[in-house]
Amino acid sequence: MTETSTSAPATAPAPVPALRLHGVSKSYAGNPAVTDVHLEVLPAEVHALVGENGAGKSTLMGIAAGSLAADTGTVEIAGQELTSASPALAHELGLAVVYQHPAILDDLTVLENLLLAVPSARRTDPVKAWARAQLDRVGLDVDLSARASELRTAERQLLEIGKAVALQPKVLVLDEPTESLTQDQVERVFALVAELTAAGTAVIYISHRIAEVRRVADRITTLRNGIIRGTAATGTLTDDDIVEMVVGRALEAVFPPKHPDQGDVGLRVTGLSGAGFRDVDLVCRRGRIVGLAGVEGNGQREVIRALAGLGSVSAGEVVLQGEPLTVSTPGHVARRGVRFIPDDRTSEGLFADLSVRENMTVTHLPALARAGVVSTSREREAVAVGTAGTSIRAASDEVEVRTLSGGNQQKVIFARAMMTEPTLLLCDEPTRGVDVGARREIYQMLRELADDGASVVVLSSDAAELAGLCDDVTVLSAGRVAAQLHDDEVTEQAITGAALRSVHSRHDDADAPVAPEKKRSRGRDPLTWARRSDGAPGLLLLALAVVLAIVTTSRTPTFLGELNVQGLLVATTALGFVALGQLTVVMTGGIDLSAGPVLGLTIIVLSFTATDGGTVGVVTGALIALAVAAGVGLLNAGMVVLGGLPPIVATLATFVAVQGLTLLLRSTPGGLMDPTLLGLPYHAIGPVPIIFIVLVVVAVLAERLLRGAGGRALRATGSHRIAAERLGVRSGRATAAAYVLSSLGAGLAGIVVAGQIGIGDPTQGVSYTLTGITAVVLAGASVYGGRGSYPGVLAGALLLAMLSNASSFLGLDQAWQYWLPGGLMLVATAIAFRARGGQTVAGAH
Amino acid sequence: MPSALSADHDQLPASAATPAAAARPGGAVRRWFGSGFATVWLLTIALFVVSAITVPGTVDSSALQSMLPFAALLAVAAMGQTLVAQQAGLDLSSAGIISISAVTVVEVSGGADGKLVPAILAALALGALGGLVNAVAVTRFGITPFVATLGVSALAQGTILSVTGGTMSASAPPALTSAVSDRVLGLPVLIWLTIVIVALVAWVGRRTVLGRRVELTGANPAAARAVGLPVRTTIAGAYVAAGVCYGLTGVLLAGFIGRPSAFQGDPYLLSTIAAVAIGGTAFAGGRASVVATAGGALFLTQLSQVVVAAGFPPAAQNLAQGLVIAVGVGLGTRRLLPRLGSRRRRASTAA
Repeated sequence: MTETSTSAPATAPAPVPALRLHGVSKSYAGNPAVTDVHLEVLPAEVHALVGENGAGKSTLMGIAAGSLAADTGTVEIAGQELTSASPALAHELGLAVVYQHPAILDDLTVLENLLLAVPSARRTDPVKAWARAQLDRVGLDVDLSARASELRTAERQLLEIGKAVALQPKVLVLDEPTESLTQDQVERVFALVAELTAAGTAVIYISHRIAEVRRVADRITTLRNGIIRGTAATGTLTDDDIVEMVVGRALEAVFPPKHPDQGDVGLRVTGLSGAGFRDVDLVCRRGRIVGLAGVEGNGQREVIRALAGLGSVSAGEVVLQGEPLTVSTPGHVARRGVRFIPDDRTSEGLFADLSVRENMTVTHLPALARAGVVSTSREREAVAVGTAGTSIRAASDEVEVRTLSGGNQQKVIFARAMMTEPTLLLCDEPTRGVDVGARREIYQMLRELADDGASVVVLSSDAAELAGLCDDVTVLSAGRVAAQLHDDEVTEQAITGAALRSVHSRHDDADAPVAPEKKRSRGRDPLTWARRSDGAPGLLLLALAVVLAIVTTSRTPTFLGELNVQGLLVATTALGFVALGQLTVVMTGGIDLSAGPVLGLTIIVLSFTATDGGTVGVVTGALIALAVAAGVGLLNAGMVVLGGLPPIVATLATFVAVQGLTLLLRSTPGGLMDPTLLGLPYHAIGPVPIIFIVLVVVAVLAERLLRGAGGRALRATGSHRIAAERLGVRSGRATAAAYVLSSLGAGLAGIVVAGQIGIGDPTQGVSYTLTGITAVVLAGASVYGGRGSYPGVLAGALLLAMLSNASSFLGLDQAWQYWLPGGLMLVATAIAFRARGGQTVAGAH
Repeated sequence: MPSALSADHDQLPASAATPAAAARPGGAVRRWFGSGFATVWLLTIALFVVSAITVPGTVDSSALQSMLPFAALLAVAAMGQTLVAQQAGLDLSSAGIISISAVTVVEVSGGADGKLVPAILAALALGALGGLVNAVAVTRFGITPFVATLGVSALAQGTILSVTGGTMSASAPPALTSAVSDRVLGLPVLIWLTIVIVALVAWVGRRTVLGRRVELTGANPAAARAVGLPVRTTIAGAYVAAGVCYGLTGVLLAGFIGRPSAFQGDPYLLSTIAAVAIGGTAFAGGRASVVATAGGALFLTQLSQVVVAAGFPPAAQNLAQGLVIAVGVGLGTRRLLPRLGSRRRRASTAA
């Protein structure tokens, strides 16, 4: 072992370290992830942490940030011990983390993301000016009220950095901060790092890119297999030293030798145009590897995806091995032997929950089958060959592929492609997030494939990688070919130069088609508002309700009679409370099926507790009934939050059980309610019942709370639970509160219905579950969580109550009471989906 | 260094680790236990043992004869729910489609044997149509599955009421009634039919290219699309197949009940979900087992029987079911044995 074991300088009376890890160890299911780590990071230094994927860097930083609990050892931030694994506490002590996958909540606005991340004590008023200043610091020019989902990858990264810097941390952890940034943006981040360290902040810089690390870091610590292999001042280390410490062995040449011969043409692309690129020519000769280069967002990704059948092509010709190739769908090109390796392997490359075997044989499956039946033995053989050929390290072929390290996952995808002897291999960032050792093996595989006669096209944002690997490189700028480099011309300088030089000319070339961007307007035009607002569907529902009222009244004037309006509003109130509660749960990404039965249970409890005693008796009885409802909510919360059950299953269980409990308490109607309760729904100001006014007030207050800190936590939880937790949001608490509130809503509705029917009828209530969900869905709430509007849901409840009321006035068939809500629901969600410019399941997301 | 051993272990070359694990004797059994689909059968066996001890009347021949048809009907309907769950969906249209199919068989045949075949075909076609509307709503219009299917269920329910006015004009044709309840080898035809269908669907899912592609699509539609699989068609196919399952349930139910109501399918709305959940198929998509779902259906049906036979009020059925869903699924998600290869590479959490 030739490791440089220089520990932190212990000679001079060192200042209090900004971060000190002492004897930290952590295992997962008995496997050590990090072992006995001692690390001191000093104020005002940039300390790089370098290691392969799976070396334990992220675990270590997770422990420092309080998002993971260490098994042993202590963490001190600026001299104070992190006494419990809590991201909120770590923030308080002065540590902020910029995650490689930004902890950005898509359903919240840019401003809300900032507010969620930074406690009010660290902000200045006015909040918008403060937020603007934070964004300016990282060079992010976006609308504060834009939804984070509208941001591009690089902008999200910058926002993530901005959030961390705004915390004014004593220790800033940057985990691969530059992966998606352009060179300009990288420079800006480096300048920011320099500025922060000058002010005394310690920066921990985690990166795969040795050149970057050398440029920015004062000291470097390397980590391998969870053990620190050494810490040294940057100047004392050569690149080779670093690589050797990281991989534990000296690497042979990283890149395989190139292929100087000019063979037959394998792939010829002529004049290809489509969304984001125009007039692209590309030639790949037998045995050679072609690179696609350019500054991020200049059309190169669109070109490679178009060749894979995943983009749109308007003109041009693709010829593969002498025959024209139609690049209309992935299925088409796959049948011609084209294999695509996407840049984001988790979302588009892997079937994470399926086994290594199933992942590997995806495309090869028909060849392993006879008459459509897969031969188990042939599949195993094929997998064994594939695993050996790519030296995948996995406990067995049957482990789920998500349990592998990044490098091994990528190798599984390569093994999948190689199994079928591809005619054309398209690789988008083949080594992103892959460690040095695996990287070398991947380069080797690509070269072997080219030698075997496949055309290989590689897109990479790393010019050094392209220079080392490729025989020819095509550089794109603003969607057009800016340069074609061959053989000796293929150098890092030439690639970067061509990409950058043309970037400047990009602004002069007004006609140039730029890469497609998500549509984004900054103005306050109504369309933008409607798309961004959660309340727009509610207004539409209200308008529909008004139209329905006008139509019905014109046919039967008594529809707007005082008595009917009052009855209608009472019905709206009951449904409204259920729907408000349901929305709270839906906002967390869950669903509460038990709302209806809880409403029913409340009625039965009231039929025991609120049968006499006047106002005092009824209030006491109602409180008992609400307490019972809240108890059911707690049960749901416990099963979902503590038990980890899917919300549908947990609330289905309570749905059935609460129904049973209700029937046990009363199998037939009985228990007359106290007259006070009977009168409750009909106390009214004019035709408007007081309880309806209460409902409206509750909805408005709830909406206000939703935009405040508590509501942000709720929406953050629904938007992206894990990211929210990293930001210190107590998502368990928020989720639990939502289930209790939902049950309380059902309980309040139960009181209203009890007043209406006057007797404990065990058959009441169950139908409110589906109607409540219908109201929520009609109001345009996202059933995936994070978005919704309380007043909107109220409008939904009003419309639904009106539909069932009006159909009797209009003499409509009973069928319409099913057709209208059902049809409306389908139409409304389809429109909402279009308005948000979404893609169907089948499209990539 | 205490960690040296395991650190080195991680570095084992693939050739040493992989074939050994693949060839381990009893690997299939272990995998089955590790998959989470075995739990339901152990629960079911335990339930029957408890039934035999505490309420022996529920496991004698006549009790089983009366319980099994209900379990079989639920198993067929829940098979449809499983196929949708496999595509990360939730199907709330089972109630409406089962009702409309049951009603269709009766109404189209007019209770006469002569028109039974066209009546059955019409019922199945309606089931497929319902599934197709679900499929189009989900794959073309991007409507969330449970919203789409809830809407379709309401449309079906409205159609029943509109056409029949809520009352049936006839009963199921005698030929259907006897075909469902006649016994072969001591069991009603309905049971045999269910066993054959479940076995067939399970075999297709496990062993064929089609079954694998369905699983892959459910596990990650974006990745399935990128490798050229026909994602939309597959997802749509799952909904249509589910619709046919509900249609078949409706037909069998009509034969079994004789005179179905306009809301005959309602109990299946939630019980199909419960059977899938207890069976261990996750609603997140990907891995699914129709056999385990059938086990879930058997379990739930026997449980109701036991609770009633034990002298509890009928309402206690619900309490027991609720408890079992929560506990059963809680156990199911924990899995009985640690998964194969639980020596998880630290990378999964660290990288």
